[in-house]
Amino acid sequence: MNEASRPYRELTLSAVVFGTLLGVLMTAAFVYSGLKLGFTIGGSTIAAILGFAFLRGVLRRGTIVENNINQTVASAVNVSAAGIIFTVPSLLLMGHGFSPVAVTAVAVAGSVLGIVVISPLRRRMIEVERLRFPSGVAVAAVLRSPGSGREQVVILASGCALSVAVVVLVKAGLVPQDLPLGRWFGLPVYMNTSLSLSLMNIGAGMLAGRGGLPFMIGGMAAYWVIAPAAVASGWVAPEGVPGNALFAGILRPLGIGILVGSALAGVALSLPALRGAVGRVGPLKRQGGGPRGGGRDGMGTASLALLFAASLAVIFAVLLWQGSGVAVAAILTAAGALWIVIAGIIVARCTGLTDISPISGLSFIGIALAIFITGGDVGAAVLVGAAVSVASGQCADMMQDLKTGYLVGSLPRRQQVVQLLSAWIGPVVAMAVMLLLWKGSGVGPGFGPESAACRAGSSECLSAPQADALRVVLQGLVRGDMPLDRYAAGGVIGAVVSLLPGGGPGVLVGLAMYLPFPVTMGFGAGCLVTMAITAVMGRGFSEERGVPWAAGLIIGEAMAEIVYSLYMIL
Amino acid sequence: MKIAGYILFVAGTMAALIVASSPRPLSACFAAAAVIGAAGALLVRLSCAHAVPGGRGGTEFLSRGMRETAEELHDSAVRLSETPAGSGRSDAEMKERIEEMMRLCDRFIDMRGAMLSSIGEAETAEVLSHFSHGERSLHRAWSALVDGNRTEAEDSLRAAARGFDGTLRTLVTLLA
Repeated sequence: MNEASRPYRELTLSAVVFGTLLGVLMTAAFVYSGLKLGFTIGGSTIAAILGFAFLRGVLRRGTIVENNINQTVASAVNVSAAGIIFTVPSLLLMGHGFSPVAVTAVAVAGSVLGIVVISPLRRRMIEVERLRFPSGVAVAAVLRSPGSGREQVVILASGCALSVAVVVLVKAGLVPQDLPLGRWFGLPVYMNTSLSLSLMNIGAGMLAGRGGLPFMIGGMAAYWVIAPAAVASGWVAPEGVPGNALFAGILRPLGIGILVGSALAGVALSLPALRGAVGRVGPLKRQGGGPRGGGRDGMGTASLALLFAASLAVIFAVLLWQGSGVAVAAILTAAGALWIVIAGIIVARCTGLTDISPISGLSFIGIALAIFITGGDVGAAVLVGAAVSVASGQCADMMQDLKTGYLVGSLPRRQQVVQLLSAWIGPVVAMAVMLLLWKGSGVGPGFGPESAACRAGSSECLSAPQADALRVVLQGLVRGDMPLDRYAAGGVIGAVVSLLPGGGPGVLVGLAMYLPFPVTMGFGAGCLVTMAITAVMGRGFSEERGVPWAAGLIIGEAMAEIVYSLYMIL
Repeated sequence: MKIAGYILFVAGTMAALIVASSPRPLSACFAAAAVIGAAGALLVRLSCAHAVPGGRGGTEFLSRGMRETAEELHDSAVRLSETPAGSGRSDAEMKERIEEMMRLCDRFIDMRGAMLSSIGEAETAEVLSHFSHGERSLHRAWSALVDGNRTEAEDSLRAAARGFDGTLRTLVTLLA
């Protein structure tokens, strides 16, 4: 049988096995780099490039959609690493005992919940709202490169090379990470006016275009309106740069409140339209006018509901096993599930609009909620926080992969199935590697006080910065330090912004207030570049040359950061 | 009305943000500012709901543009999927035709904002739901051709034709 008439290779054993292997390796690397450096990197881009090299280069039979499955599996596995290492080690650092089996079970349940809650929104976010998902577009550009023509590949590669060059220059200390524009123009420090030289960020802004501008406006409102007003009124000290009273006490709670308020109001306002659309498409499908002759292209509601119930049952059982009473476990499970739904929608929207997701902030709210419900049980709160964190990561990753799938023509149902089947692997691997690093071996790295590296005070003693920050926050929460009124005020403002037509830019404004201004400025600069190119050269030029260029910027920085992490490890 | 709405919205929201940053975030001032912001946003929403780009003539122009684009996409997909493999049309030519259709899809999507104003949110979602199945299938046909699988490409083009047919029928029903 020649290739032209063979069944089209998509969901194959080689794609799943190679994707799983890649995912496991990347999870181990991300756990290490997360504990050492405090951040992890999205795995889809790297998985797409390596899968491309292996399936197409080595096996010589990989198709574009098969590589999409490979990349979906790999990122489904490695996306859990961040959720585990930014939450669970805080228990170890506080000397709070926990059962690894219990935490892993809850993280696996959270992983499945994330996919289940976001799957029904695929049509809304990708097909109707057409959210950009910049990394999803970048991965699609890689997958489509064999058929894109020489010119497009050259543009992609040149963007990639420029991004790598900038990362090298920044890491070598030859170029600053942020350009201090504010200092050059004599602005006060608390206005934090700098431009991040992350070309990934600028590339994401380029892909978002005009739609991403409210993000920049949110940052300007935070640092050019609120900050001067707060300083002038004496609410914070003039040296209020992010990290202290201005950021932690005002901007972060307001930003998270706006995110939550706008997401909830957005869902409430779009419900009638959603119901109307579903009600109208149903009869058309039955008449054969629907997609693929009435066939279903995503996972069915019954399967998703069953998985949702099973995941909740696991969380409830683990909470009971860990000593919570029946009533507390039931309330905590219900509140955790509700928060996962809200956080998942917020994270998926933020990723779709900007490529940046506020996972840590939303996990923090989940933890605070759990502490409030349990009356200060830190162990149960971190369990819920781990579930929220892993679930939110899966929401963002699933939607990115579905966007890529849309652009290369994959079948969403197959992507959802492989994502679900791989969802348990990441938490298991991440937990195992984290525990190994806690104890540490005789010669290797570690982050526990008993590990050889920390006892010797060597550079291989990992600082676990995110988990340590969460430990400090947890201790503050138990003492009752949380500006609830500011979160509530942010929620009201978010709801007001959502009343604007088209759902309003509330999510973008809230996210911008929650992030450092240099990041917001970099993203906004990307939006302005695309608007200028479109105005001068036309929409066609912007799509045909600007998109691969921006995709190259994103891919280049992701690759360079991975190589840098490996360099730091070795 | 729209400009007045925006002015109220910006003034109310900014005032609410500043009050929310004060030591007493939830005060009567905050409530008043939030109400002004909400009133402005609602004014903008109302004026946008009643505004159709280009007035009645604009609606007719748009309707015709959307219908014609959907029809062209449907016809192209049907013609391409019915081209026998041995007919002389090379894979490269077929790919070029699909890329032209992708540009037509972009043109259709460009009309989305105006579609929202003229036929409403639920109706636009319904049209786009069908359209997206056509577009996704078109992308699949492109990928299959690049991978050298002509049979899959033709199957996907037939699926694309069904999606665009659904788009066209829905549009005709809604715009009648």
